[in-house]
Amino acid sequence: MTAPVQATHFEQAAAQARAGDYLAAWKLADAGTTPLEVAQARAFVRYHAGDLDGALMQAREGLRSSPEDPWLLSTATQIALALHRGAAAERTLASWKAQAGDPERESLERATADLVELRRAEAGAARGVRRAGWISAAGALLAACLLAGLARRPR
Amino acid sequence: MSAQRAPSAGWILGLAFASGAVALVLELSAVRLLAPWFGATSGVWTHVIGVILLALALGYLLGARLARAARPQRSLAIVFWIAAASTAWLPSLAQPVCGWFVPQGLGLDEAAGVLRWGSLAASLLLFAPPTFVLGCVAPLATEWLQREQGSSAGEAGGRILCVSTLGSLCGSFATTYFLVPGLGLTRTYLACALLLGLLAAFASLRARRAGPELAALLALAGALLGSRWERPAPGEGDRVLDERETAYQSVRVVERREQGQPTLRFLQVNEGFDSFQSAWQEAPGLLPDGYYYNAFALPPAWDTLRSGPWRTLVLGLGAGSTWRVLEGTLGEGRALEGDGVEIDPGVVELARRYMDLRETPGRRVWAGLDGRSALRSLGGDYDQLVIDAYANQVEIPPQLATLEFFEAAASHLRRGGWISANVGGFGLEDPVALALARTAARALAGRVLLLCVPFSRNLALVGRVGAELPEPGTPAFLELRNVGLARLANQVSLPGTWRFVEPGPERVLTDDLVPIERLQEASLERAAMARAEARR
Repeated sequence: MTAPVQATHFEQAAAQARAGDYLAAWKLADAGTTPLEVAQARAFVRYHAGDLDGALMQAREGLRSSPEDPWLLSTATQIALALHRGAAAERTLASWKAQAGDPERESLERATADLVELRRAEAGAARGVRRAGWISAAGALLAACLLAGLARRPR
Repeated sequence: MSAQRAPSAGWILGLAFASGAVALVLELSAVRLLAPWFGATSGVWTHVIGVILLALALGYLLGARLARAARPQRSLAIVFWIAAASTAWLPSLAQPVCGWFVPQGLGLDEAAGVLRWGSLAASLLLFAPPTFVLGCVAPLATEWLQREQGSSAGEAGGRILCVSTLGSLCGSFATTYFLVPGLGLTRTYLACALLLGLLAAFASLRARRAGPELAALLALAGALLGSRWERPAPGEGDRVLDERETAYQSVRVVERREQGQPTLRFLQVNEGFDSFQSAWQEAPGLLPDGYYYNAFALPPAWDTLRSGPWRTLVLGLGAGSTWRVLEGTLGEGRALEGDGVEIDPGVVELARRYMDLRETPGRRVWAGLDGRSALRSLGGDYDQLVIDAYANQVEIPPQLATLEFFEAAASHLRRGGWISANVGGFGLEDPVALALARTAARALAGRVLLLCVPFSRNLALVGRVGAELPEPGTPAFLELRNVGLARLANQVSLPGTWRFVEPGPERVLTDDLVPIERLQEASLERAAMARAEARR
């Protein structure tokens, strides 16, 4: 995860988080000068502290007020992918693609590939559930027919 | 009366005995065959038993219909051939059938639907055919016996039911204590198929038939030669060091070597999804980020007033990951003593061989004991009791989740002693985690702490007997000598990653009422709803 463009409080918070003092980093994040900076720093700290759900929530909160911020978009996409949340990742990835600058191309491509992989797994899971449902229903129907047919007294 | 030689009643009763035995072997081993894909939860057991009972019921009806024929022994021969062939194919069909429902690499939180319906559908496809035809045996054998012996229907039926049930009795004991742990799944099914095939040949000789039997014989021979159960492959880059069937589960040890990373070994049970039972690295001490065992090392680090050896009781020792983490973090001159209880002796055996599980004069391993019964036999005065017992990968054993259990656990701790538990859950509002925390809080008569383990979906529950817990974010919580533990304490002090649960009037889990399966289902549904919410 790289630093966003405007960085004073963010960089201080990031340095503390990298040093393993997440609480101090959190306080610095809270002291950010704009809602965007606060959201960015909070997402960064939570991500590095291992609270991925919390980091995604912070990034999404930041995106509500700054929906085109490329750093938040890339962060939200990557965390959603790490949490196996394909739909959420797909949505932020689309916006990120629109906003990303050239240096982010590589990250974008990697995220796109990860998303394709995740979507494939999700589709596989959905297919598995559908297949299992059909087989179970067919089995139940067959059993009912057999039961009805065999239970009847032959003439 | 038939033109063939009349067999003795013993032969006919023998056929019924064998069918009853094989039916139970199939029923009890079915979950083992499905477990690598679907786990071995109560739901999977229910599906397997339900499918087998339905198939048997239908088989009884078909057998009754076939018994009206002039020579029921002919049908009996065919039934045995089909049962033999469909049993022999089970090991090699398991992988394609189960894999058809469960894609590889599926996470547990995405798997709720597949778990529910996939195990039912796989049971239908795999186990309904052999048990359906085995169901035909009792009415056909009854008819044959009645005609050969000239006895009444009631007498013949009673004798057949008696031996068939005795066969089931033998089948159940043989499966658990001899067949599956001794022969493994593939050879268990092949042995059953061979037995059924021999009996089919006998019945065919009696019926003097060769047409359909020849086809069945070919199918059986093909299965006997080619049938082999394949477990799901390990993850990319992982190497299987050993694998075996124990009395409780399929177990394997997997090694992961990644460049620049410490070598890790995992003990996996039933290999389902992305979970493992124990983790090992060469040097004792904290495991990398994301392993909940690290949280078990926090209480001795917080308990600075305690000197001398640190005595632990670990319920659900597995391969001893908790001990290794504690051993490496207790600090110079502080010994780790106590007892470790693991229900599966097969796990302990593998752990001794591959994961450095060792007993010392002050440290004993109790293999083959359930955590709850171990509490009754072991003495008290431990510094820390660690609960890390999971049944069937995802289920907390109900007997280790109740008020009575936590009260018994507390009675084994010295004043100021600690309870630590690993709880799989989705966040601090998870229904399973909250129910356990409330129950523990009531038993300990004090608040307990829930911590989200970083980079993981596990929660650590911490309680204390007769003393206050340190509050996250305070110096008592954060200022620890071990750098790794200080970092962990800092991580879990962030707002939103911890909460206290006070003892309250809410309903708690008791030995009388412990709806753990329902809570676990609610937990998975909650996770699915959170995912749906994130889409919006």
